[in-house]
Amino acid sequence: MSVIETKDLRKQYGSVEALKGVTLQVEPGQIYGLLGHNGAGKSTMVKILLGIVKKTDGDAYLLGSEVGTTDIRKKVGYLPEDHQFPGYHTGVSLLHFYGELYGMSRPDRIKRMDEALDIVGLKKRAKSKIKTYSKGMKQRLGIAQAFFHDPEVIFLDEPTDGVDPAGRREIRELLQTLKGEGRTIFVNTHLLAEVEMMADRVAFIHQGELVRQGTVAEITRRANRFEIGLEKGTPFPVQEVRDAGFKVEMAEGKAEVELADGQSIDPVLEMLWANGLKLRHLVEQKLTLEDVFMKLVEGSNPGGKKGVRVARPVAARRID
Amino acid sequence: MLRNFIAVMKDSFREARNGWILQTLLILIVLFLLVVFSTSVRPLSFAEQVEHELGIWKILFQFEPTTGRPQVAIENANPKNEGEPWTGGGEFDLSVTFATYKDYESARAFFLPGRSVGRFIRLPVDAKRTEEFLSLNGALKGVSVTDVTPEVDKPKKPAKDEEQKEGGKSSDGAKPVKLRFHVTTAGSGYADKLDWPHELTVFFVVNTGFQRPARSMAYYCQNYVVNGLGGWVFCLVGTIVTAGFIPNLLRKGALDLVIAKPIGRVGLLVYKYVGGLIFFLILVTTAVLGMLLAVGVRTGVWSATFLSVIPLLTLQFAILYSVSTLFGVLTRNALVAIMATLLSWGLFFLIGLVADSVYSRERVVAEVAKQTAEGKTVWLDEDGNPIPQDKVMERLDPNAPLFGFIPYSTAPVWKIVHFVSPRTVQLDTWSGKVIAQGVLSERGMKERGWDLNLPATLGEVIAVNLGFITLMLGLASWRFATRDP
Repeated sequence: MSVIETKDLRKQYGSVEALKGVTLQVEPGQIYGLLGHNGAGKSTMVKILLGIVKKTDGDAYLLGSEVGTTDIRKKVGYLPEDHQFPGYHTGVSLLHFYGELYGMSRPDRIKRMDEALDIVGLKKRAKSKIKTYSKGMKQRLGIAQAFFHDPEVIFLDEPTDGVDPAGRREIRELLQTLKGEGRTIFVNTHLLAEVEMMADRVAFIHQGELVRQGTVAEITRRANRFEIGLEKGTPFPVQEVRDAGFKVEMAEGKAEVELADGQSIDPVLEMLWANGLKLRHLVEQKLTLEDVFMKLVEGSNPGGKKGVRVARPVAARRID
Repeated sequence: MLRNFIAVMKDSFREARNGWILQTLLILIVLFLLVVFSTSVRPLSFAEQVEHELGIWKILFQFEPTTGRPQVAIENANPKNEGEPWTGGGEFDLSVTFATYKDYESARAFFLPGRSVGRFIRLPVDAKRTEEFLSLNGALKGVSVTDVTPEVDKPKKPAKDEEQKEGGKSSDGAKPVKLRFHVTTAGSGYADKLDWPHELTVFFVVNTGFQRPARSMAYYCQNYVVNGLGGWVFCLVGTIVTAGFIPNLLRKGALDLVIAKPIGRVGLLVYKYVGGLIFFLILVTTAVLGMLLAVGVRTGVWSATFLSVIPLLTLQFAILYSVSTLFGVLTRNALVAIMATLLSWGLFFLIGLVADSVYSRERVVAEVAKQTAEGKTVWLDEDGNPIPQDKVMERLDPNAPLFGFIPYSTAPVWKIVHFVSPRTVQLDTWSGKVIAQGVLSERGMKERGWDLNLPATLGEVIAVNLGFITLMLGLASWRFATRDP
């Protein structure tokens, strides 16, 4: 059973169509990244799944039930974008308040409190008023409140917003830990680098439409380019490889070999081996999510239609 | 559900005490209660009490020339039961001195229409009028007066030639006129010791000279200080402080956090509304319990009915807070919510005031019509003569403009509007009556007009107010539940 499932989900705000028939499925135990620029419909999607806004049409299921019921919300954690916690709370009192709303008993709350605050690194400031917290601390508290009640699914809307690089790394590690505990995590972001490093599956949403989804590997494997470097001082047999039907370009002393559909890099490697050339560098080049995203955006707006709000995704190179 | 309710209550309490307004008000209440705790009261002696009854008249005599400005004094007071002077009555001499014969004449002609229909007031210029004068407010019972003025001091009109002395200028009979009446009383109009006038001391040692029945003092503290001033201040501060509760809940970034939790929107709004009432409830409960204790300990007047002020005042605030909640949901702006609430408060007060004036007019007209029909003397003219019955209604002018400028023809409209709008004025009146019933004697109730029936029953007032609150919360809930954040 899918944890999240939508079928032809639509949402209309007056004359604006925020979602145009989105269909997706999220399986248990995955980190699922929903990507898109600001205003693409990511937050609307999550808010419908949580029952915060009402769908106009289509179906949406969470943990096998229609979205929007209070019972289902008990099993869900949520960190909204640009959240504002009441300033009169401390970290501890906020978790107590939200924990009570989730039906947690006081002993349960106390038992989980230290652990949750420790995980997000807020234990020392737990009893300070939230209004004294930095943006990053508030973000970490937001994540803590999202998993504090031991939910099955966690929705995080821009979880690394305002967090410094070290904090982002901690959050990524935390999400991996939560995933390891069997939870499903649904992340909304326009920070593609973050998702590329942690998501199992991603989907691109653009102007309310789901334009592509799949595993990160599937989406970024499409380049079919290999970078090859030989022992220093050894020239690359460019012409011989071209004669064998491959496209070759030299860049900074390395050869970039592009494969046509159905071609394999193996004949090139065998050719080098047969010529007694010593291989020192071989990297399969992949598209980054940014590349894919930009292609998709450009595909949707041929000629770079002006007036479309596109947040420039943060470039990243996947490190496997 | 209960867990959610408790969680939101605790959250509201935390929000209420944030900013120190609640704490500051609680400290002020405690300080005021300490002042009340520093007071003590002492029952007056028989002589002091009679002097006390004359107190207001002495002021009138001093400032109103038509009274003849007599000097009055109590002498040879002798209570029958010194330990409980309110029970047995006693005897005393009343000395009345006019500076001139003209003053005496002026006092004889003095006429002051009484507050109640058919009553009028004369001054102590002879035994009969002195008896009327001393019996006037009911404080002295079984008053019997004997004129014991010595022959030499008997008032005599000065001879005309005597008036022409001093260069033709009248001396007005410059010799003082001294009257003396021996008064015996069978008892007092005071029901018990607490109803008997007491003298107030504050800060343990400072004698204020303020003399009122202990029950009246308790009534002042409970009705005017807690229910009146306190209620007004609490409502105003409560409106300002709690006006931010709903807009804060609904602001961008905060609302999603809460409504994503397993709690229904209507429930959340209603819990938050009740949470706002807690702010008020804490203040009122502290003030009422504290005042009940302070007044009880220092005066001996204990009144459990005073506790009913807690729900009644809270209901008063609940009306205002329901308006604030509706506007908070509609505009998400605390300032707009405050302004709308204060304007509504003023409007409800205005409607209540005008409607009560209409009801009061109707009651007086009905009473006059009834007494006229029974052939009773209703009013006296300026000379003290009964006004002919056919002229009474004309003099009353039942269709005169309300407050002098609102056409009486609009009375039905005011009554209809008042019938369906929150009864804040009537609720306040009922709070006063409930307090009065708890502390005042029958005499005290009559003195303040609490013996009269109010235009609406307490049940009706509460029902209409609860209906209004339900309507406001219903509209707010509907808007909150159906609008996407």
